[in-house]
Amino acid sequence: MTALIASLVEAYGELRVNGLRILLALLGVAFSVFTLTATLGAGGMLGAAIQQSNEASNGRPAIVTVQASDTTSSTRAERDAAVAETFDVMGIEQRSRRASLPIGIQTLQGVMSMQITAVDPAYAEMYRVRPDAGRWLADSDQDRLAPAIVVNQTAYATMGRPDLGSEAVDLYGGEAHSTAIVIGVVPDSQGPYPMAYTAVGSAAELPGIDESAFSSQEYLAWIPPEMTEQISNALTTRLSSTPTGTYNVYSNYWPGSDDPFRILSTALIAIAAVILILGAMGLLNIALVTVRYRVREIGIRRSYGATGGRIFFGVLMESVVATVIAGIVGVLGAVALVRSPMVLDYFKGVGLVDLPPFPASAVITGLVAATAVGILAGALPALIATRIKVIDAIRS
Amino acid sequence: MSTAVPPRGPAEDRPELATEQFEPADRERFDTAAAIGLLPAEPETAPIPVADVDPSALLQLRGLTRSVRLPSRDMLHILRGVDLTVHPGDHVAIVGRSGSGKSTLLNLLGLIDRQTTGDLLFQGHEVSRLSDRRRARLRGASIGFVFQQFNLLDGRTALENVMMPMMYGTARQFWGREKAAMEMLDRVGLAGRAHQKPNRLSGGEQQRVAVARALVRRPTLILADEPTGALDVTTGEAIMSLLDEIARDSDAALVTITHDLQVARLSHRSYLLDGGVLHDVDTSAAHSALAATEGIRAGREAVGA
Repeated sequence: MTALIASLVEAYGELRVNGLRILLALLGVAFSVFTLTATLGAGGMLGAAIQQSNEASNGRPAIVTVQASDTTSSTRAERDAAVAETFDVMGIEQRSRRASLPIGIQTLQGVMSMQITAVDPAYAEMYRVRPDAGRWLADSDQDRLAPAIVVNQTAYATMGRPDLGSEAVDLYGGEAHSTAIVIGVVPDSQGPYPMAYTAVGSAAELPGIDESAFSSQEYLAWIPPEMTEQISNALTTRLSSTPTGTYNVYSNYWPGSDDPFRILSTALIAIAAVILILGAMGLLNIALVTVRYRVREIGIRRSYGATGGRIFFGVLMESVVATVIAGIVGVLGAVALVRSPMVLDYFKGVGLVDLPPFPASAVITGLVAATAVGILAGALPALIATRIKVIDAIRS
Repeated sequence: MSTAVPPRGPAEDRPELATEQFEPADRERFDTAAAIGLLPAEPETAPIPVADVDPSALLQLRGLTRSVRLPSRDMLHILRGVDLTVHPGDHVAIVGRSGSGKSTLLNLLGLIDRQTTGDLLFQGHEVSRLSDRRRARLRGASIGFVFQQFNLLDGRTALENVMMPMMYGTARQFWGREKAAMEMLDRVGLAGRAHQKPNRLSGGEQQRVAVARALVRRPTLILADEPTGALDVTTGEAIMSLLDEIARDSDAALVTITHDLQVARLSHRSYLLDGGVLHDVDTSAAHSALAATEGIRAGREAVGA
């Protein structure tokens, strides 16, 4: 144990004495670790962004959609009850109804048509919808007379930024007119088009909306992805013939299609690996030259009792300590870059909603690569160092 | 009592030591030494009989030879049979001119090289049988080197240089390295310059740092290889008396390898290494021998004139 600590102390001392020279050698290593970690990290974050973007439109894995094939022989309330009962029986708790309804909003430039989506509060979690301001729909919003609506940024700007939760806005449907209260603002996840959400329970209060508008209403269930097939089949069976008619069941989950960035990230990692190898070769080159300069010093150390193993380990440790330090610098640089406001804004632009932590695997890969480079670049000089003839070295 | 083995008989009775051919130069050197009456008997090559092992000796060499094979496939016999016994507290000087095998002997005494034949007992143990690792550990624990060119590590302070041997010591030595090194620097009168790097120290100061480094692990044997070679006469004398004093205080044996007879005169006993054999001589005889073998100019150099 003492020998290990002594070796580390010795390696650190060596780095301190030869700081500048080693620093130059390490630039390549630090840069390649930076590239590697930044690529993996940004790739991971970009993957999360794309995934979240997909989830905003298609739902998180896995969403099962149930839709009535015939809406004429039963009422909406009957169908709601039938599907809710089936979901209850199957233990599905995360669920939402969804219906797209046309509406007109009063804007500064006149009345403008907009799509409003009537959902249940659980929808936000299933589709990763997070308000930028205000709040999302709650169960209590189902009973409001003036419907509560959540709008996207484009719609909010178009409406002239009314006060959230207090100011009434005008909604139009054909000739009808009513008011609603904007309670929250969500990002433009589908592009710069005005969109809004409201609670299904109060959607009938919207102007110009009657029961026929709900004919394409869907029932969404959020289930564990690995059970998609099983649950879809069970739902199909249970809902194929009910007193309220038959229902179709779809799912958004296709196993094996989860990483659209595999080719890109593989290419980037290959480039980073090449840079790393070049960095290692540069380091090896310098380490080999350095060991020649250190012949006398190593001879002196051996004359004072340093064993061959200790010299080998010492030279190796110098290389490893140096590359690990370079690796830490590279990783910190990569984290700083990927987490910088500029890059985060970019990720938000492509659909990142929940900021994932910097991928731990990228940090670990960076540090492991740095250590491996240190070992590879240190082993050969260390072997040469152990073969130095003591007295020849001292007298040289 | 420790002396080189005295002559045992006429040269023609000696068993032939080397089976391969002698280099002409070797033969000539050998003959020169014989001609001036310094040649001892042919050394023993058989292991030291148990009865002859001196239990109080720190270092016991008997019939030590070292040969190397030249690229021409001939053997070069550098040491032809060295006998030497060193006790704790001894101060021994080994004088020899360049090429006489001083370095080779130093390598053997310092447990860096292995003999071809003969015995080298360190504290009663035959060291050639030890593994490299054990020899390195024994060297670190028991032997302190002082070199001609000081050989301090560049870029490290005097203190770091003196701490260096403790890095290879026991856990206790490692953790107590700074205190021990400061004490040793204080002992050589350089406590105030502990944080200076070697390039800011004079030659004499550097050699004092080297002495402190050699002694910091409290070795039982100090090997000084031309310790005054790079110093002026006055500084050299100061270093030698410092070495002598510290060695005496710690009861360590001091073996000085030098071509400077002034330095050799400070020792208890002096030997002349010539023709690969150690001759027990007084320094004036060694002077004559050197003068005879190297000519007047070399002789002048040897006495530092």
